[in-house]
Amino acid sequence: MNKIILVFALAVLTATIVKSQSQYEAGMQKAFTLWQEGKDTEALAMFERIGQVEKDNWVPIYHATNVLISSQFNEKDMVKKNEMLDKAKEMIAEAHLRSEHNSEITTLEGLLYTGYVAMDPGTFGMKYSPMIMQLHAKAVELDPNNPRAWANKIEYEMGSARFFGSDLTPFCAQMKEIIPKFENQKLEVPFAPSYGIERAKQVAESCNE
Amino acid sequence: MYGQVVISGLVTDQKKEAIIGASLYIDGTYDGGITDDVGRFSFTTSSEGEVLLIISYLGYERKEIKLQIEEGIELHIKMRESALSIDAVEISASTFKAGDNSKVAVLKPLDIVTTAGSMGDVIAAMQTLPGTQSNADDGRLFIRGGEARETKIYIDGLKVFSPYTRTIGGSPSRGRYSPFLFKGVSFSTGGYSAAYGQALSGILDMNTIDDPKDTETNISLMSVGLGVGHTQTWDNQSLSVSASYIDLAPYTWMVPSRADWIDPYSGFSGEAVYRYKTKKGLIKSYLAGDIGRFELSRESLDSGEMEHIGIRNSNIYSNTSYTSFLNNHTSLFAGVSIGYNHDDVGLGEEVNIQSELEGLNSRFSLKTVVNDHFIMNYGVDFTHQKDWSDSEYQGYHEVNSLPRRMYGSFVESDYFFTKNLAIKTGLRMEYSTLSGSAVLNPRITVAQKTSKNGQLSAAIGSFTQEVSPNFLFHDFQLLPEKSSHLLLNYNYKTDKQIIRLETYYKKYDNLISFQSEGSTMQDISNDGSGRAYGVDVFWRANQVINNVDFWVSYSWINHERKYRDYPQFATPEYSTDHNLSIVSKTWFSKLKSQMGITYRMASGRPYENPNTDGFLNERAKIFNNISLSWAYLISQQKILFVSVSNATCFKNEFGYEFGRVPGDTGIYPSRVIRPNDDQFFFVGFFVTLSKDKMKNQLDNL
Repeated sequence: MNKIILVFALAVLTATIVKSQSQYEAGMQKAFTLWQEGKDTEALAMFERIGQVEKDNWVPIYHATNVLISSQFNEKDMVKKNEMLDKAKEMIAEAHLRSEHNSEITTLEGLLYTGYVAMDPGTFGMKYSPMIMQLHAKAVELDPNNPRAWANKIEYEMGSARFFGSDLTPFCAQMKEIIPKFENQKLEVPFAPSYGIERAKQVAESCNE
Repeated sequence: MYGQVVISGLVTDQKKEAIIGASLYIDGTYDGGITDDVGRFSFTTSSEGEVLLIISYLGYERKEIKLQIEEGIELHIKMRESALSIDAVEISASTFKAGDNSKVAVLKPLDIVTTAGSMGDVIAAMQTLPGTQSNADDGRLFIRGGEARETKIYIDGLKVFSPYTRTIGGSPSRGRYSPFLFKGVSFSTGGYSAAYGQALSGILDMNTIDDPKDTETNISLMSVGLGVGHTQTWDNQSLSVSASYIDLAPYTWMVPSRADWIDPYSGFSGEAVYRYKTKKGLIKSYLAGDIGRFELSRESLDSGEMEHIGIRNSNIYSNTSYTSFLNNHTSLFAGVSIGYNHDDVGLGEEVNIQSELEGLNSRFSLKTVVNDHFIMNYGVDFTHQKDWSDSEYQGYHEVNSLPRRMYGSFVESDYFFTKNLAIKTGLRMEYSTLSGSAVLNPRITVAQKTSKNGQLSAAIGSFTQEVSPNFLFHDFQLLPEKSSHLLLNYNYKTDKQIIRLETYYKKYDNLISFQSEGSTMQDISNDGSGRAYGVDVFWRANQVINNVDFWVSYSWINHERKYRDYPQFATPEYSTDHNLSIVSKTWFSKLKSQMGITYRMASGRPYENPNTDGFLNERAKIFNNISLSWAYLISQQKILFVSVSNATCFKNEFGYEFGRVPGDTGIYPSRVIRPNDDQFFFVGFFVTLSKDKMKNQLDNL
């Protein structure tokens, strides 16, 4: 009798896990689809909803933050833009709590502060430029195989070099070198970030134009 | 297997206008949606019973609604704009801020160091803002008719006891502290927070940098000396140390000075900052020390002989603070600063004055964000100060010592009726052990947004400050001096422009008055009074002209007081009626250079001519100064900086000084007051050495 109960309980438990797994997958798929369709607000809301259920998982909140940071670059209203960045900052802090010493989150944090500097260089340049470089260095150190960490670092340094009118070809060459890292990446958790190869190729080719 | 229930409705703001893109979801589930173009939403849920519906939208207060799940739920949800949002009314709009809080910043952090003519001095950069009165031969901050001592300077909310370098008439003093240490400043020319006491006219609070930079070494080679700095960072702590040596001897040798220097200024200074990040807070510790000396000779107006004047100064300042979040709503600040200053002044063979100041200031305060509309700030502070002097002249010897303590407490609340209307009410209490007197200072500010970019605010408040130690030495029971401020401010800010207009009325009471008998003072009392009113205008435009960033400040003041030994109401010598500053900065990307031009003008200073009738009714010539600076980025690690003050070499005069006794003809001998140097040239070469080659000292310019 006890055995039957145990088997039954296990079956229910397994069913629940499978159900929530599939619900998670369906949810994440849907959010990615929304984002691809250009429905940023919907995609952000979806990732956020998943994030508040899956409290120990850093992946949904990572993508939510990524959507927010990407869309603020196109925002023209400065007040709105600032609010979006401030919210992304809070979300990054939350993501760090869910997964410490995470190279992907650290890379995204570098992009967040780049957003602040791009918005208002006079106000944020002095404060955040050293921090951005530190974050890039840290992201690469945490996971030398993370292609996004490398790509963001190289692109940022390339921006500074362009400002000083220096030769850009070494940066294109560096970008070319890291493209195999994109091709060889293995996802350790489902839906972990894997994007960025197209952009990297584009940058690598930019010196030949 | 589960019932699917549809939840739908409308989300609006308080004016019933639709909110588009608000996110709604049931707490702990994937079920939710966002509002469409008309503010409507609809989603299904399989939840049952009582649930929590969460609604959020950027710039609005997050809302949580308890909901009993049943068929056909139709909701109308009203959201309230958050008073904490970036475009909410700014309650301390009459304060000038430089920093990364772009909601209120008028200056950017870089402005402090890139303003031509400021020579990297925070104080000099502040003097390009309205409300300040130019005294180019003095260098200290004079605000709205107040003496320099009426403006108090703070670092991280803690008092600085002797903020200015020691100089002598004709050579302006500077702020002692390196501008590179600060991430921002808050500068108020009236109506400031109840958190600050002991200042009749103004407050300058400078905040040190929280975030450690990378490990790096900086070297500076300058026409006036050299400096080195090093920063070391670890996981959650960092240490920066810097030292510099300044010697004006080679400069004075190359560029002739009006003053007759025997030993031009030379000084050594060192600074260290240590930061430690705890889980929820930050500990910052700052230590600065400097020693300096100079000696010159000048002709005595009375005897006609050359007199030697020499000053040696040593100064130490240290400040440690701890900030931390106690919980989601309350943050704590605790800090202590200590200062020590020693001056040794020699005048000829016979006069020697030694003076010393030691001070300690501690503060403990809490800030509670009760909700999105109500913020409380409250705390206590304690100050111990001892002034000591030992004067010897012509066989006469006098020693004075004045230890005293001051206890202060304050409470202040910001209440937002709506996002557009707010009131700040504050109360400060102070008790002085010396006079045994307690004072109560109430302060109120009301602010109303008038349009998307404009706002109007009004403030009224009272302020007290103990009288200068020179008088307390004679009578320690003198009451604190008092001022009341009433001001009306209009602020207009867009991405590219800031316009500020402010008008004020200021009243002084309990000012020191005395009778002069030769060089001694009689009948010292609190009978003096004064008043000032005026208009301040500020306009800043960035990118309105391509690559040019500029600001214009203009102040007009009418100020009179009857204090000290004045026989009647008069405008004091340091108070000029009109002050104008125009600051511009242009970036030339092809030349990799930033060029700066600063123009400053002030109407003539009043001076008293004992050879004519009337009192303080003569006016000096108008003051003019055009300063230029050029920062050239040679490479990412090397910067060349060149600047010149008073480039067009205006012959400025600050009035006349007169001898103590009339000459044989019954006329007092006089001498025009001029700056010791009409112009000042500076060339500096800055190099950064760091692991990361991308870094440079651009930040430092």
